[in-house]
Amino acid sequence: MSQTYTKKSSISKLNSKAGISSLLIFVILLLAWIAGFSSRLFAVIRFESIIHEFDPWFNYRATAYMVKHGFYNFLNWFDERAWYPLGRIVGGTVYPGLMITSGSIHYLLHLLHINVHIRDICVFLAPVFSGLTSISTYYLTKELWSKGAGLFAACFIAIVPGYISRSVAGSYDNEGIAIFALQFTYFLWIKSVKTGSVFWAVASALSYFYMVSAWGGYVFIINLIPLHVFVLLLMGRFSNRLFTSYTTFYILGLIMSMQIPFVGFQPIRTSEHMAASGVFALMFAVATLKYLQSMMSKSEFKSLVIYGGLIAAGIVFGTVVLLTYAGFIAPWSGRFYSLWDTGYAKIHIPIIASVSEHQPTTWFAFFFDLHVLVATFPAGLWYCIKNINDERVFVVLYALSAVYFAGVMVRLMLTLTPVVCILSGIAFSGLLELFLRDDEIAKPEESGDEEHTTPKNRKYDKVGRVPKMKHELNKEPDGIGPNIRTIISVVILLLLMLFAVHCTWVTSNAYSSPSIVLASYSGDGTRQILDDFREAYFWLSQNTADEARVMSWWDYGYQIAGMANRTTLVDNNTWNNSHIALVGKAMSSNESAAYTIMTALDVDYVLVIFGGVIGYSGDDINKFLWMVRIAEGEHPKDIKESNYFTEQGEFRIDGEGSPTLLNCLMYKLSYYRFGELKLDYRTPAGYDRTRNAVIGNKDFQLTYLEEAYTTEHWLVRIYRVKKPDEFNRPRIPVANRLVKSPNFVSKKSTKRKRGTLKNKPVIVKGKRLSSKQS
Amino acid sequence: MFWYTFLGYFLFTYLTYGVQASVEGYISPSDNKKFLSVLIKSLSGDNVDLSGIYNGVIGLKLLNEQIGSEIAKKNCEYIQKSFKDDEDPEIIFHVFTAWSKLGCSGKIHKEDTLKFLRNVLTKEKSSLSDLRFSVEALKAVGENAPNPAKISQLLQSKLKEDDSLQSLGHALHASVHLGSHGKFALDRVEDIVVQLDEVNGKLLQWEGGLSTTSLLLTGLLNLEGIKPLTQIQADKIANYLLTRKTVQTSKGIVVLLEAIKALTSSSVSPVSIGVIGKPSVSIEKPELKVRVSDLLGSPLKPVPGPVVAVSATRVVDDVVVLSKKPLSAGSGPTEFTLPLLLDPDHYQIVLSAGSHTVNLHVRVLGPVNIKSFEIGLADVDGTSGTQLTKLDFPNKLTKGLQADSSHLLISKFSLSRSVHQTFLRLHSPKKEIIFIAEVDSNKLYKIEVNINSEFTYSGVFDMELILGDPVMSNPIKWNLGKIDINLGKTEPELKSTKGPKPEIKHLFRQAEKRPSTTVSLLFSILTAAPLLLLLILWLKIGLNFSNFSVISLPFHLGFGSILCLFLCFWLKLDMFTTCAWLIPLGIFTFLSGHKVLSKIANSKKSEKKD
Amino acid sequence: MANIGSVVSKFYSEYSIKTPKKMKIIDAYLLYILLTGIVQFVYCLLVGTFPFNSFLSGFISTVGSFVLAVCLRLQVNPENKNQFQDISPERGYADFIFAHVVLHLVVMNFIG
Repeated sequence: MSQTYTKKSSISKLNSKAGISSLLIFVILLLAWIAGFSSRLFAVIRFESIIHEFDPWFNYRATAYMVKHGFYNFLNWFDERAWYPLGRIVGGTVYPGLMITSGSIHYLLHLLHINVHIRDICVFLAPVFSGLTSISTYYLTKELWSKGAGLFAACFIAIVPGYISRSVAGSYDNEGIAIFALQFTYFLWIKSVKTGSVFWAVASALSYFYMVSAWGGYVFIINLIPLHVFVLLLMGRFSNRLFTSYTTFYILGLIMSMQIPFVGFQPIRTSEHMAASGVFALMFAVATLKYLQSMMSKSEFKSLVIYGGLIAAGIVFGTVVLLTYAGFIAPWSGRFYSLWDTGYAKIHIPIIASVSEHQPTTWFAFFFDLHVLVATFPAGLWYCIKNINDERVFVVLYALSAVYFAGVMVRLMLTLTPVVCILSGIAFSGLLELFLRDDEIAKPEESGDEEHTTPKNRKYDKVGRVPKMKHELNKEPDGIGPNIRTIISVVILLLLMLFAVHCTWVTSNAYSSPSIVLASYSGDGTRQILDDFREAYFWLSQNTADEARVMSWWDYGYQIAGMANRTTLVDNNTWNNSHIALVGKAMSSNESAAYTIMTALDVDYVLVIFGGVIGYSGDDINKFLWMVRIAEGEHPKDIKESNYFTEQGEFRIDGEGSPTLLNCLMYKLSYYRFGELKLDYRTPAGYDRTRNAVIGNKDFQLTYLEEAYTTEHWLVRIYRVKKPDEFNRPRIPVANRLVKSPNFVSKKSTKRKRGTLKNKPVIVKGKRLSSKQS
Repeated sequence: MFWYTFLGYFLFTYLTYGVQASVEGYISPSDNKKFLSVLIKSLSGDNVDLSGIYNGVIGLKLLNEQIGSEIAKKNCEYIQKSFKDDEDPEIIFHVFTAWSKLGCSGKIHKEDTLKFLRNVLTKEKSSLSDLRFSVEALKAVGENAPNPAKISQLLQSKLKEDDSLQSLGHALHASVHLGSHGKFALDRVEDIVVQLDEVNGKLLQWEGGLSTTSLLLTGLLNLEGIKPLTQIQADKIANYLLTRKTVQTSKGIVVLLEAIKALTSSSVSPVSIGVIGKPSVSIEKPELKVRVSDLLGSPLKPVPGPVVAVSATRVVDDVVVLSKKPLSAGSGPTEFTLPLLLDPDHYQIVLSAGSHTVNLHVRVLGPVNIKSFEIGLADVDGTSGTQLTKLDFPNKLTKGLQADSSHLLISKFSLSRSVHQTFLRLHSPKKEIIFIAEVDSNKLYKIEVNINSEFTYSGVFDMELILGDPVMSNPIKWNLGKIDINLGKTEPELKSTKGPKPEIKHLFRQAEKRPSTTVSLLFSILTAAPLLLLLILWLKIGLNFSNFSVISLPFHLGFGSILCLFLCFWLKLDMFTTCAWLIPLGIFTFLSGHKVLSKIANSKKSEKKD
Repeated sequence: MANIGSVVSKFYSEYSIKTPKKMKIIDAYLLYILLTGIVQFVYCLLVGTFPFNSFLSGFISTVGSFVLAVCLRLQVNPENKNQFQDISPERGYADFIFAHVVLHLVVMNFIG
């Protein structure tokens, strides 16, 4: 694949005929789209067309609700099946862009009488949008640098793992469409800054509106664009074009973003949005001063403008601080703080820290998700800084801020990926511009390279090769020697090829598991599908009462609601920390204490995930410390994290584990009857494969719960909470009884359970003489 | 081996029977009345049928009741109308019998019917019941069965095939009418008798219930020249029959009465001895009335002997208080009296009339007097002395008691003799609480109630002393007066735990106060005012309408309609309809506007060139 | 004070002379919107912001109109011709109309 990009970019650059070049661009973008789409289909091919993971299940459920009940009912939807007994106002706590997008696709297709099930639209939405993303990336890069760089960037973003991780088929999540909206907004913004046209600014505001409706990450845009404007002001690059585009964009974007119920009045109330309004005011101040300057024609007005601007900015900032202090403007939210201080979440908001994707990014992750791009994008950045102009200031700022945020949180790698692709595209384009001028030498080496590539790649080559030969023949070689050129070209091509291989490998191995269906490979290489999750959810939907309430850790809330259609206590929309802490407390208390909590919450079933049989590491025991921490945050008197560690400070589940741990509800529910289970001949009974230890508490009985269902590989275990009249009441010895019954000893034993009749008549049957005689 | 068990069985029954006496119950007049109503209904009800008429007629005859001529006539007509040479000998028998018993005029039987019946008696295929009823039907119209020897043979061969109890019963009944040819039945008697089932050592019955038992019993007792049952067996069968007094159908009544009549008129007629009325006497009226009769309540014909109270023992300690005391005759021929001048208690009396004895449980009741009674309050810690008020039996406390948590409610009383139940009941309209008095060694009853531990809430209670005993002739329920318990806590209203929970009303956020209309209007005008200024200024500057032409009209129209659409959107439309309208309007306006503006631009350019 | 007064009068006279008629029309419009906005703001200070969305939509509508008009003025102004090379006054006016349509669609949605 990689050589293809190379050729194409250089071709398009050299091609003088606009028609052929635009045809080429079209074909390349189309192929990028197809390549991106197909590499996202691993999950569908290996497993099936199914919604993945956790959040997508909620999005899917909400989409299905919207398609069924209409948009306005969706906005007013009060979901009483979640967060029992509180319920959740879904319409007001969700970014509806995703649902509206797939809902309108569904509507359009049905208008055309193409009867596609809404689930299939949801599954394939993200791959389709990845194509749109690569197109908008192309345009953005084109505006920033050149068409060639744009093509590079488009191809990179189509297959880069950092983006694929959020947009494989079935991963029906906000990010899938939000990255498209992000790139498109930036493209329109750059366009409007370049032209100063109100039209582009309005279009950019509309795109921003779509972004707001789709993802909470819109805050990134509304801070980055004012930052861009502000930096341009500081650089003395104020122009009427900038004024036109920013003011129009801001005022339209402001009122549009307030149309989303979940956002509400936040854009004028919270600190996160204040920078934008401050810059808006600043723009007016600067423009007024400029106008006055033009009217009064004073020579050294420029410096005054800057000072005045700075003073105005200071005043605005002061006002914002004052308003915040007075309570008119909400201070920064905790999640926002955690962006600045990586340790903040761990101390103050364990629920945020408990999510793996909120952890700081490791260097390994950078390389894993971006591969060679992580090395080349600084080069692109340097190119941009070297040839700075209004737009390139923007991309520089974008790159710097995105790098910082990606370092803070794994999840924000997603915002970094597009800019890395853009800058790498610029870098590669710049490099090849330099070294690939002379095609006479480059050509044979390329065709030789072709043989190493996959058939899929060869298809791309054919498109690019023919025009290239025509036009590059007459190029004059520049100062670099042909051997160096050849070597560098080969190295670059190899790099790109490695990148393509890496992308495919990462996609197929790391990001294409639906995580509700697991696959394991046995010794002889055959693949085994573990479908325990769906088995359990199906059992719930078939065997429990319709209004039954299921308690589980919040990770599984959306799946239970989506697949089993049962009421849950907590789910992945973690809006109520204390409710989650209550569930965490129930899980980490002993059985009787947990029972009082569960009765208070009307729990009918408890669901735990247990990976000890198959060695699945993402199970509840491994998440258990987070439950304890979250519970401790709200109930510090009852739950103490230190009680769950051994004296040496270890978290152990074997015989040396702390007694509190060995008797808590989560432990018991996970390991109930596990002590009887001998997995194979080499290990003793009750050997936990995930934690490689023999469990410490083997023979115990459950008093307040009973096992209702355990899936084939014990991955999901469901327990029924007994009603108060059901569990075995302790037997009081006769001597201690307050009401003493007379010496009645029941003759019933386990063997004689049949009823007897008191005062049964004794019948002596008469005898028959005649029968004997005859 | 068999004989030993057989012997043991007899010995056992005999021994148990030696102690336990004969029959206690009998067919009382109230039973007769009940039977009568059922039987009358079967004769005059709506669902009359031929068998029902037969049962009604026979039943009434057995009860010695006359059939009203009106009813008789009606039933005769019914029989006349619905009898159609029926094929079933049983029905024919029923009809013939009912016809004659009702005393209907004329003959119901036709020669054909009789021929049919005779035919039945010769056929090999006829069942035992057919044979029996044919014989009896012929008998009912005064004909003798033809060829009794043949019939006897038939019966016997049939019995070889099927000797169930039912069949045997029918055979017995048929054999009676066959004269000397019926002798074969006597061989069967012993076989039948040993098939009796004994229940709890008290009852004897044949398997198959009342109808089978009656069929066999009447059959057996009709046989001549044999005494099939012993007295003990007869008594037990009588006991069984008396348990069946509850039959509801006319057929059941008839078979029951037939059996009892047969038993009564036999040589082993059981003697029924029982107490008339309640099995208790009081000290004031110590005569115990005893009835000695047969099962139907009539006096015994051969009087079995003098009626004697063999013994009377107190149940508690088995002390014999009376022995060998003959009873004096009472008001009727079946009534005897025994004066029981005994202390109040439970007694077991053994009565005998000749060889028949019976065990009777009798209570002698006597009054109980309250010798002394006092009630009052005392301090829990015993600081101040107890203040007890003496009361005589029917009187109430003149002043109610005032108690609080520091008090004990104390009551002490003594009785003329000990009684079984002694309660102090405190009750208010909604609740009651009952305390049990305990008796000490001096036969002094005492109740001590710790107010604090027994009561939770304040309240006014009525106090009541309840005394009761099975041998007490004057059970006492004595209202003692009121007690006011003051604990400082009144009882909260009890709410029903069932029923719907109160509905939770969603509380909408209160709308903030809006400014008054005048203020709003004023500001609306103020907001609109600058528009005037704008117009003035524009006029002052001088607007240029020269570019206005017909071509631009569609554009202005389109733009205007978009603005109108927005107004509608504000007032009533929703987002989707608005967008749907906006798209065509927008396209139209865009095209027309494009045209206008490009024209202006072109004209400007040309101007510049010029 | 006198100094400021003279500055203002100078400014006004320069304005009257230098500014073309088209600009003046737009400036009159701007003044009108400014006054409307000020009245709304005064209302909010005096009476309160109760139906907050209604107030916001009204106020943002005036601010938006003002912004758009300023943009139009900038684009139409012949002095800025070099900054807006691609944009003719007519194109500017068309954009102005388009932006207004979008703005007021949203305002109508928001006003409740």
